Amino acid sequence: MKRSNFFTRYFKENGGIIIALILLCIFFTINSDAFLTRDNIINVLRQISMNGIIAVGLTYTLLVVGVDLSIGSVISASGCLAVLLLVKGVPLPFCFAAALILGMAVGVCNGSMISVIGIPPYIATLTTQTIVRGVAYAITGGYPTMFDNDTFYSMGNGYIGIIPIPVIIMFAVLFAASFVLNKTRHGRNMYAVGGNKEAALFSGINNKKVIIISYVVSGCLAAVTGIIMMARLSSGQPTAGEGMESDAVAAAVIGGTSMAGGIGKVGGTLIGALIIGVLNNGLNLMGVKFYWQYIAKGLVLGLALFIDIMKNNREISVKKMFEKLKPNAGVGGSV
Amino acid sequence: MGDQSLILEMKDIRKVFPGVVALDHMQLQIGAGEVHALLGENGAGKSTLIKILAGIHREDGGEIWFEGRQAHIESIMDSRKLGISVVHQELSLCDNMTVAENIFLGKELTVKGFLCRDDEMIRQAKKILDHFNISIDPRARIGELSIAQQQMVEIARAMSGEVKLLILDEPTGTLTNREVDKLFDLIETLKKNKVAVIYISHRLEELFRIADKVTVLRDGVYIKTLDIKDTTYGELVNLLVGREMKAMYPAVDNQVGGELMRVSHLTRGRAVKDCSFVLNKGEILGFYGLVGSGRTEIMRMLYGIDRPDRGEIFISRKKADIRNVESALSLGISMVPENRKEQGLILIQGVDYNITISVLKKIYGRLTADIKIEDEIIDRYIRDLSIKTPSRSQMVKFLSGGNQQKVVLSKNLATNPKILILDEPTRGIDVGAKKEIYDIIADLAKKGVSIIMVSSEMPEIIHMCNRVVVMHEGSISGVLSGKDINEQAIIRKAMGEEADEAV
Repeated sequence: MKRSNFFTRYFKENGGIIIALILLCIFFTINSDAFLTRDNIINVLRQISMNGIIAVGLTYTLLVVGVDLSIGSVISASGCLAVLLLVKGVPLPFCFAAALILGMAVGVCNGSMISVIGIPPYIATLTTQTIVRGVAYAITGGYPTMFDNDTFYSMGNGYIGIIPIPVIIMFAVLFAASFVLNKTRHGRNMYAVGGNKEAALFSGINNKKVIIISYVVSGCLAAVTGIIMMARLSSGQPTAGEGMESDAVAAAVIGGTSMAGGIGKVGGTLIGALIIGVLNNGLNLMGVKFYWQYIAKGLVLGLALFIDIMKNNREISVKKMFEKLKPNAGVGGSV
Repeated sequence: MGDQSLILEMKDIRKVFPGVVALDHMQLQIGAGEVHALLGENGAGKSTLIKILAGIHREDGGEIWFEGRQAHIESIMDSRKLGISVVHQELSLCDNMTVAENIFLGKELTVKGFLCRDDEMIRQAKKILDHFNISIDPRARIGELSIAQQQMVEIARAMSGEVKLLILDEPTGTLTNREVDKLFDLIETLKKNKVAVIYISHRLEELFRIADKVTVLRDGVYIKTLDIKDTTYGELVNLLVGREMKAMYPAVDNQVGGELMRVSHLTRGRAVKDCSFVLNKGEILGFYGLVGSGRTEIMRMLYGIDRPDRGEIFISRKKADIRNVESALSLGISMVPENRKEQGLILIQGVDYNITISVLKKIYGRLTADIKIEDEIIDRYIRDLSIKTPSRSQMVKFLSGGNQQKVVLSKNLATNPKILILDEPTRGIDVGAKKEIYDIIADLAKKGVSIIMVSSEMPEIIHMCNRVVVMHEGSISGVLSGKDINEQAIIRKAMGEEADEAV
């Protein structure tokens, strides 16, 4: 069987949302002179880079029928940790390493609570969200910590050529994550665990390991984002990152990742992040008030969820409808 | 006018779905108080027919007459009003609620539409249950009941109104023989009450016990309606598959070799007590027992899903430490689980993906896939097991039950097992596919694979196995071989020697 080339396949898989993105761009180009300029495009890419990175981690957790709500807290705790260590005189690579280790440790906790103990993902990661946020405040005493280091600063503000460093990091993360998902044994195992955990078990797949690794990846990418964010703020901010997981969920779901698990690709997540980024940027340029932007984003997310249900769960929901329609089986009888 | 003696008459029914004619020139005539079996392979159109009667689908052509009047069933409510009630294959009771609450679910008796009249509902539920001779306490929680009892409650619920036609879709799929007897008693009671029953089952033997008439469908077309007493098992099978089917079971002429696996004193909780047995090379070893007798639990331990509390497993006379599924696979043990949709398949993935999921180690040498090896494996099994699929990447949830089971088998065979455990390998698949699976099993045994076949279907145990291990309440109550393998002997052992009917 012939395997079609990368771009044809990419467009086939993401055709719908790519068209939506293009339409959105055309709309803003018409309505704002500033939209379709080189500077603005680079600006949009930089704005979405952080969301793009954490959305990849979130896609990993959604794929194994989970979610990671601790991302925002990990961003601030790990970013602040890096800054604090730097200020204390620790060499920069060790500061970054410490941040990543913190992120991955939170991932191990999340993954273990979910796969070993069996706590539902929402609750488990809500717990760590609260605790890790507390850690961020505790280590900083609740105050921002300024730092002065050019290399650190450039992680958020530097360029290579005309491309901002955060954008380069985002594409590197996307490429690596996509490679793991599509080309490796671990990637296949993730789809199996997400598609049917019990069948994966019977197929000789170590469910627990696969799930824990997904949360470790998510935690690690949140830490990477934490570093970028503190670099952009040129200080360690314990309040940073709050609520960022909701944009990540939106990017992943708009990108075609199923809330029911087992379906989705990070390539779609990138488009999802772009749609949200373009929406934010375009509405800003048009001078739309921020509260309308929230509403617009919410509506887009709602639409994506609706499409997800219609597309991926058709079988299930039709079956559920029959159950409801069964004689005597409840109020659905009048449908 | 329609025929007055008939409760239901369907004439020339046609139903078209995009791309498929699901039913064409279909007819069905059912008299009051008649048990009418509907027989057809998966995809023959039985469920479409039922859904038309239930008001879920609308027919595209033809007429439906109910009690001598032409009926237009446009919704579930229309169907209910006529007195048609359906019990679907999967039970849909709330485990956490009581029998009475379930029976009145969605139509609770209330004071001014607000306060529930619990006592009244319990009283009425008891009346309904008594009416059908079902001895279940209406206050009992559904979760505490056996599957058979839950089925009874489901039927009682379906009957708790003015019902003239009851449709039972595969009601015995998960029941043991004794539970089936109880269900049949209930159907007899319904018959006495002049309720007509449409009965769907893959188990032909049952039809001869319970049905009055049988209508055969094939590929959406009406084939024939027969009086059950004028027909034979063989005739029905031939009508069903549309060709002469010589023998359901292949000749099992495998060479049984020496000991391959020895299980000694295996124990886990209260489910499995001190079980010891031997599996020889190239042997088909049957496992029979009532539901809950511990058969599946033993298999789960052999496959590394559960750990035993005590006991040892030897393979080729070496002690085997089966810690998890991975180690079972590396010892050459593979298992086709009981429930293919929930345990066997990733339904939202393709045929290709499912076939290779257990052998990814072979395909991913270092980091990325060796596409050549992968294609080879996939093509080989689609060909060898003649899996009918439009393409290799077809989502398995769109395949028929028989083809799904073949995909599960392929997945297991791809691991090159020395020991293949089959847990209910033919549950819920049609006669044609069943035969194919028997052929595959016989062929594997001939090639020297040792097979453990757990089954609730007596005929396949009797015809396919070299020896049969019978279990009763967690213990092995007997091992039969050769001429001793017969229905009476197996049942006696499965009941724990004393063949009394007390539950």
